Amino acid sequence: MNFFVSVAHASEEAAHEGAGAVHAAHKEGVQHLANFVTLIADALGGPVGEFLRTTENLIFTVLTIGVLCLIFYLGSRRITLVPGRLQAACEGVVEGLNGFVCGILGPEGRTYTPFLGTMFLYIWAMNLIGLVPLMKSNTANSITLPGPVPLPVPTTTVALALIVFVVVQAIGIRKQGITGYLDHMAGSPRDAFGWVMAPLMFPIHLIGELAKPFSLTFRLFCNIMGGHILVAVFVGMAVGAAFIPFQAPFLLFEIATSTIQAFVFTLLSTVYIAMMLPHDPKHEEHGSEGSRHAQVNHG
Amino acid sequence: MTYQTALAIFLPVALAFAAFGSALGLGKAVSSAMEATARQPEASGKILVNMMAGCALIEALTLYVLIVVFVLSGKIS
Repeated sequence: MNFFVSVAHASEEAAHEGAGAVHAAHKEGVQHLANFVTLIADALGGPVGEFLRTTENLIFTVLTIGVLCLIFYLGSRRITLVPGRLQAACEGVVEGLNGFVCGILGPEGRTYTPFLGTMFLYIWAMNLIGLVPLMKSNTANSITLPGPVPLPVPTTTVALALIVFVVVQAIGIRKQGITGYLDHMAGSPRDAFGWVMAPLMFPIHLIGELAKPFSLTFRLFCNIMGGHILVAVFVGMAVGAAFIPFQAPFLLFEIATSTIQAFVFTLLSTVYIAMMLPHDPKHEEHGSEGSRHAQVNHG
Repeated sequence: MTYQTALAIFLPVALAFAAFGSALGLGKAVSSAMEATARQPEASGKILVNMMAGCALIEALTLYVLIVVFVLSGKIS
């Protein structure tokens, strides 16, 4: 693949949109776009190259976190009552996330807004940074299981999903107490039928709780990885055919997918927390109470 | 029939089935979102947000199949 690497160096100088080196990974048969870390690692070779390859994800994680922190630090440096543009934008983002989380969790959801909001911004930033030429999304990173079936196991997304899983269970145990938590997992038995069904409901709820991080992981990973593979395939076609950016409409679609997937991850995490909070028997649904009360009052 | 032939025939068919199923599901979701918006146009923002979330969840199932196709297509020689 030296031809593609040399093409990438020439196009870096020409600052062509979206062109990069396409490595055909012969073992997996899937095409990945090269990013600047792999290009540097290939150019250097030897132990430094190996080290760069193993810390590729850390470099992009630090980069993503650095970009996010820089934006919000600059937006909050000199806080004035009448905000400037960056401060207004940052406040708008935080207010929007707070409104979204409190719409599902109610007014006491404000304690969970930092966690969920940071999750949304982090995943959104990670997804979007992968669309910049010569950069890579950490959410699309996976290790390939050794063995007969080269199954890609996602790394970053499983970490995020495990964080959400642990936080949701911890919130459940803390808010309802350990007995309330076990009671919730056994389906809240109240009458004789409930107690008879409890030994059946407990494994079902347990498997349901364990399936949630699985689905979160693979949904985010498959969407972002599939999108990036699509872009990589089109870039591979474009490199052969005189640098026409075929991948441009798919990049636009990828921007939408990045936002939607970050939003869905956060929405599902919020709903899982909402299901773990103690249910007030008077209010069946959160968030739509205002309109329902209004209808009851008018009707 | 070797396993490569079987994979080469049935991987695209599997992906087509998954895409067909998710297209049906998405069509139903979007059509009910359209009807709800037509009944109450001032709620179109909230309906759009909920529709997007539902569509992402339905789309995820097709993407699981896509990843399996990408993984197994490497085993065709």
